Amino acid sequence: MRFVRWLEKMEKNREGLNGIGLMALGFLIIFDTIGVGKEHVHTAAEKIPAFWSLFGLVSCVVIIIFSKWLGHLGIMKRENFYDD
Amino acid sequence: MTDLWIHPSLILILGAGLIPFFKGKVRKAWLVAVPLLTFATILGLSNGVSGLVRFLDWTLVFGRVDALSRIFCFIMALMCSVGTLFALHVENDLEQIAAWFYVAGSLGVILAGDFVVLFLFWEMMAFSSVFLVWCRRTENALAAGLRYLLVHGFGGIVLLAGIVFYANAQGGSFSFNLLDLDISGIGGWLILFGFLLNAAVPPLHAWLPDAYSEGTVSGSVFMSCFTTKTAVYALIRGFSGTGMLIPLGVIMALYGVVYAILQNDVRRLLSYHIISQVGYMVAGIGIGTPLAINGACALAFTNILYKGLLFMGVGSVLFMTGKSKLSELGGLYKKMPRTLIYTLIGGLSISAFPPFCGFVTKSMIVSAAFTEHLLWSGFFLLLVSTGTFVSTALKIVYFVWFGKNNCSEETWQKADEPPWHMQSAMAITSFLCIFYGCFYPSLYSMLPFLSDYAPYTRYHLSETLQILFFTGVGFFLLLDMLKPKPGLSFDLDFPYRFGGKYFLKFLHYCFPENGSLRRFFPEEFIFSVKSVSELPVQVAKKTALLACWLTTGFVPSMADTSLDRYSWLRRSSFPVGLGVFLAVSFLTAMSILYFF
Repeated sequence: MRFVRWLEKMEKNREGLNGIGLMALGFLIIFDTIGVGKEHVHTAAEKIPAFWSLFGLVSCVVIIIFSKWLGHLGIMKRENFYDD
Repeated sequence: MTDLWIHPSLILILGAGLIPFFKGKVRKAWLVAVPLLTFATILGLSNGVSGLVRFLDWTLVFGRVDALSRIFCFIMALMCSVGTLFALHVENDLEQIAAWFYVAGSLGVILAGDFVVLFLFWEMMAFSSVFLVWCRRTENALAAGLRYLLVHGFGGIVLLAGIVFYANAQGGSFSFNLLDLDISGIGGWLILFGFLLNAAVPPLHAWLPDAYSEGTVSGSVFMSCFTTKTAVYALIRGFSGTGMLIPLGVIMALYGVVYAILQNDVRRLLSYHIISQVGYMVAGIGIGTPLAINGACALAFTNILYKGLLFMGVGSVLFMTGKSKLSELGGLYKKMPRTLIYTLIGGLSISAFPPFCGFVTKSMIVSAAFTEHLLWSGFFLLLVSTGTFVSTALKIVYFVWFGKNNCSEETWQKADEPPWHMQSAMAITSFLCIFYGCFYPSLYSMLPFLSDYAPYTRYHLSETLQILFFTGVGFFLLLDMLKPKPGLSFDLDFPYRFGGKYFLKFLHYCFPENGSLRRFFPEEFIFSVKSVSELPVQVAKKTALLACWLTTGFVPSMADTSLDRYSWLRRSSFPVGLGVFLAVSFLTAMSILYFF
């Protein structure tokens, strides 16, 4: 199947993929800084260029670390926990 | 009936009753035709009140049709058609019958004009959906089904009590409209409790991941779509603008997403995401403005599509490989590329990626929160959306189809694309996810309030894409932390999982063999508690086991041979009895408080 072959090619060419990803991130920041009107925003913070990029990155890190921390606190149990 | 109005549920119920009479291709054609006929009937419904039935002193309303009930009926019937197509391989008639009774219950609740009819169909949903769990025919499924019944039985009793109190306060009127908690008294609160339990609002949520992760492959597709979204409908109808739902919804959204990240079983992970997504809807209902209510309806609509699609995608993997744990899968893109595409579309839709359907609906609720200056709620809901993207679109897709191949040789051999009807069901749902994302006016025109919301603005596109892309960066930075490990998360179902065990410990502590307390609480006292608890347990357990055996032919090995004095406490059934005992005690106490 052509799609599978394409995916295999992509998997081998990770550096190229990373490059495309970085370009997309750069484009998004530039677009947000010069291409988007911010007259109707609800908070002052949203006027900071690339505010939502920072928000996305920080939120993702916070939510993963917070979940894992809760897991270590005792939420995560072995698989047969309820069977005893 | 006053006219020739045909209740859509009736078509499904009659259709379900005839399934056992058909075999082979005719049966398959029947399975496709009946849900389509139901869908066509719903398309033909006209606004107004129909299906009036005189019963005792009441006039029961079976068919209240307006914009709100119409959009919910539309998507339920559509999903019933797609879900049945997905389940076309299921040879067990009773699983198909249970699924249609379940959908019929859901449609009945949505069209109900009064609480009597609502309760009737509400219970029909609970008692039919449990078979979708039991039909899996494993010990775990049987136990999860019993717990599911216990919780929904309790919720149903509370709802019924609420309805009785409420109708009493209203001078005998059972009509189901917007309730005001300030004047509806205890009845209104109990009804809200019953609705919140079905919407899986923490701490009343643990039944959902428990049952949905143990259901049959197609049963869980059905369950992921109907119970919670019917409860969302009931909440919109009865409790729009109830402020306390806003924090509840936000907490729910956060709770679901945090737990989802910890999961190893994909269906359990998706179940926690149902809780998270319904959190958005509950918050929207609490905000109560036209934009928020439209958002809740639209999100419920699209959620049914993409959640069904995701359950179909991971269900296909489970169906083909027999595995649903991330730590036992990986690298499947070579074997199941089409399923990968469909699941990815579901994942991108739930993450609100443009131009998929989540993009045009989820933001309505967030926007309503910001417009009402509920800034914390708005920001928290956006934070949740990053978690959604991490665990559904990225974690599931990466660790099932890419990443390290953890498949055993047997799993790898078995892995292949699912049968044509499963692929067709996923293709149709994927198409709908993209269709409603691109041609959103066709969805907005069905909403209860006139909508001028414009999702495709530059600002919204820039905001969403930035959040999602940078969430992706965070995901790959923390990939090591997210690697799947076998394990189980501890949740708030411990009171009824461990109730018996701790009660036993408590009794041993209070009544040691030669302790002085023994004189004040003699053996008769302990065994009076036992007899009160045992009776409903035995009745409930035997009925449930009989029903399970009749439907699935599955005979669990639950024989208890221990003969010591406290053996009745150790049996798995005790928590059920304790639950019933507590429910009865609670209702008795409430009645005494109310009447005296």
